[in-house]
Amino acid sequence: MAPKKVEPKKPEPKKPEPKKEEAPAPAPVPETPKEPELDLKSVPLEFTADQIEEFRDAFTLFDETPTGEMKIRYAQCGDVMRALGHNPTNADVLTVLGKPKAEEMNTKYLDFETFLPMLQHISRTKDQGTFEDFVEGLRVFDKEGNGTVMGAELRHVLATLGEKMTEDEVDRLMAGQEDANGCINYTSFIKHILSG
Amino acid sequence: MGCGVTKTSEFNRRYDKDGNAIPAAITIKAAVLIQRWYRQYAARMEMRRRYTWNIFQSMEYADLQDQIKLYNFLGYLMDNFTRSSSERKLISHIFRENEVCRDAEWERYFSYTNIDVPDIYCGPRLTFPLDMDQVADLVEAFKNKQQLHSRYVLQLLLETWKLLRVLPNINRVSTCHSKEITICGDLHGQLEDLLLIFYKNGMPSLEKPYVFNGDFVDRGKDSMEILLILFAFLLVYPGNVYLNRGNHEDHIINLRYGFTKEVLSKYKLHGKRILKLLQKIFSWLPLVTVIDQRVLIVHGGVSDTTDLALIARVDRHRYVSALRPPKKKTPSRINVYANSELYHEMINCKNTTGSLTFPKPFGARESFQRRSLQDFSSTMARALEGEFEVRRRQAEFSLSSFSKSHNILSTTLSPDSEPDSSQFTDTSNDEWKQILDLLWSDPMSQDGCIPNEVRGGGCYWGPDVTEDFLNRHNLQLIIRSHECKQDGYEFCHNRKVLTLFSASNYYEVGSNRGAFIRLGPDLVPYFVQYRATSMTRGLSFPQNVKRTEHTALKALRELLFVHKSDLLSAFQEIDKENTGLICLNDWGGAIERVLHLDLPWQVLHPQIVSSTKDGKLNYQGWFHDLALKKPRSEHIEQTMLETLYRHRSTLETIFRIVDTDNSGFITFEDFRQTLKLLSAYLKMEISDEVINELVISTDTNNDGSIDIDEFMEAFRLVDKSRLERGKSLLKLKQDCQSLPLETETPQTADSTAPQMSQCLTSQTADSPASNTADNACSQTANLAASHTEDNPASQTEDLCHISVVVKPQ
Repeated sequence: MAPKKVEPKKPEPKKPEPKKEEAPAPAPVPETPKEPELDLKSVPLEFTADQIEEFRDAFTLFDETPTGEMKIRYAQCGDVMRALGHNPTNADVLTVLGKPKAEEMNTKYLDFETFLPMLQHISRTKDQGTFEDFVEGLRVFDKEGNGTVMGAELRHVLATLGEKMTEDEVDRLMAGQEDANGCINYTSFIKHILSG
Repeated sequence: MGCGVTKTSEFNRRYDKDGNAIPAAITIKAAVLIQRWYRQYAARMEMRRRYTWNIFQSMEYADLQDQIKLYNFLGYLMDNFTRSSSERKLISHIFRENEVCRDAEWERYFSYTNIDVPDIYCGPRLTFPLDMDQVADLVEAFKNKQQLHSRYVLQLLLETWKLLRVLPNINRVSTCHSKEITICGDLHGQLEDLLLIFYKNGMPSLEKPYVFNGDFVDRGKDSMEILLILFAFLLVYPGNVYLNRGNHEDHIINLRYGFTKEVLSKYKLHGKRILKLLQKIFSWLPLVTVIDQRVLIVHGGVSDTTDLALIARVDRHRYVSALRPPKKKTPSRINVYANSELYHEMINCKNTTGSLTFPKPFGARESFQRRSLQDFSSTMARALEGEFEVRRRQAEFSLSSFSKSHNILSTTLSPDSEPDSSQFTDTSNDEWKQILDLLWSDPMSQDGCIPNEVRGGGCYWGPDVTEDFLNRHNLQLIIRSHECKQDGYEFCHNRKVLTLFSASNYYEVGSNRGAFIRLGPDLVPYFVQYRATSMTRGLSFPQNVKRTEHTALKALRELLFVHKSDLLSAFQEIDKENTGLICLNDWGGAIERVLHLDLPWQVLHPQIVSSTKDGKLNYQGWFHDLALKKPRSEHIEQTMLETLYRHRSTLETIFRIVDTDNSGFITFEDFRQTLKLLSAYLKMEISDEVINELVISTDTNNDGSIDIDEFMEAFRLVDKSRLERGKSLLKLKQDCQSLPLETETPQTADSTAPQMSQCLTSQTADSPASNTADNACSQTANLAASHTEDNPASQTEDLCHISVVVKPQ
């Protein structure tokens, strides 16, 4: 029955990522499908010197320490990775960070050297999602099959399912996308997101 | 538990168009996909916002340094050229104290009574003493873009001056009557912001006291109107309106940053007198405000030597310009200027710009290695005795040698009959430093107090200095302005220092919000943030970021372009085997050395470089993408044009200095002299042919004199910030209203414009299509392109388009 399937996925994003498979592991395993312990030390760095400089620049942009110590908070780690073009889920980020507690996200800091292997690990994730994936995903909400989705519905979904977005985030995402009837043409919506 | 899940799952069930239930898993997958992408999008946006901010700030500070350097150079000239030399005569007046000094003479000079107001004038007609109704009318009139007649301007300014003279250096305000005090930061001539503040908060009144924390003028286009409004309120409510002086309340700074120009263009007949009167008024503005003896409000900040008791005692009006130290009659120690060899040697030392009180900052970043056409640094020369000695004697030394030049002046020019000039001792230097610190300093995160070499005046002060200062004076908070902040305000130093900035969209439409605060008896600030332009309200945050970024990048590309020769040399030095390729790391390093802008070049490179191969960049190709077409004029070669373009602010500032009567015109001969001055400043030969060519081609009136504005326009060197702002507002309007886009073709420009003007524009006459490309469409097209690729064609057009002029009003 539906409830059994939905239950493990819905409330905790830390559980097996639903994006990976349609049919999750029959018995929801608390650990991620990846290796239970992520050994960052064993991750070889394959970046070129130029790339590392770029990462360093980006890292510095996000460094908010008063004395410029080249450290970022755990909570910023995901942002920096994304700013550099990768696409981890929040769950992925928490995994590489070593599953910190919620309060540690804003109190613990990460320096550049520690960051690099994390970035390397994340960069290996192939599952980035293509334009078609998106379209497919959004087509789900296209009730009339006419290329549009209801803005309100999309908002609801984004705020309640998966790795929930806050109202603010949803507003920002959807700003200017809905037409007078509250509909969104999802092809242009996707182009808008992908063009970043 | 079970129920909840069931309900929700039903709730979330989706059905496709045939009514079949879609597995929830797909829904969730879709959601997560979008969420992931959104978060990436948001992170990239944040990064862009941050580096855009960096770009604007570094460019702003780099520009500020120029002004200081120029001024120091002029000081050098004063000392080195003979009294009768023409160069010196051109600029000596700026070092002169105000000749007219006694009150009666002042009143006569600024007399307005014989200025007639024509009947057709429909603006406000003020009668003094002012009352609230008149001020409200005045505000209304300015809202409707009217201009106050010069007669009333002079009258108002005179009354203001009379009032300011009796005010103390330190305003003391109390909240004890349950009144909330409203505090505003920098306004910089942005009238919309002031009007917005009044709209949100109400105008000043007996129940609503206001403090305005300096920098009312420069950069924005309505500085005069803001001043008039603030002064009018001051006159009506002298116990409820407090003004602090900012570093831009300074006529020398105004020469460069637009206020002088604004006044002269708005008041063609009486502008000169208005400016002179303002010079005096600025010097009479109070320095700081203290609320309830607990909160200090000052424009810049403090230093480790700031002493309010001393501040209270100074004769603040002696310090007409922060860039002009008080006269002193002590003998100089080493007159470096007189020995030009020594001087040049010192110039060639590795040196970053020294500030006026501290010639060489310690801990400065790596100094310029290659000095080509610019960077006439450290004219407040370093003693060769050695660093240690220098630091020990810094303040004394720089001031004493500088004052020697004043001594020369004082014997040749009309003596300043300010009474106590002969009594000046070291205390006047201390006082000067104190004032400089108050108006120019910035907070920093490290402990300590170091000279502010970025601004060229004041210091950087750390949290320990704040702590110490607050304790010594029994205060609890410092509210200051002086620095633009993204959200209009920002705390630092453990929330003991608050920066407040009230000019929204300062760098560019959408760049930042402005803020003001209200302070009640509990002395806890209540913030109100805003953004002035109505057009940006319709824009989302990402759109704002994109617009601002676009402008910043454009400015950056322009900067890169005008440094082409230097950059090329730098690249070729690295690329010893002449492969034509350079790796990105080296590319970034070279740019940083040449431009002296500490920016994240690696992160920025996709925006500036169209393509790389194997991580290497073909730099000639890159220049080609950045480059504009070859100049048609054969006599003036590219490097010269680059130079003039790069130093256009300096050029214009020198013009305005040379234009002694502030008429907006200079003679041929003076123009020639100006260019010679510039060539000395830049240590670059500007040949007579070049000068002649420039002279001939710019006298479009054929009357033997050159209109400064027209000259700058002939070079297409208009005030870019205003141009950009105007253009982006125009585009916004067009975006919002979907108007047919107006194309700006060079044909609209003056057809008699000199040939060389084509140098900096592309040959858009040949390809009008390229003009239409540079409009809002291409703007968004640019942005829609992927990050790693930038459309080179539009880059070129953008760069060219910088130079095409929108006819100034």
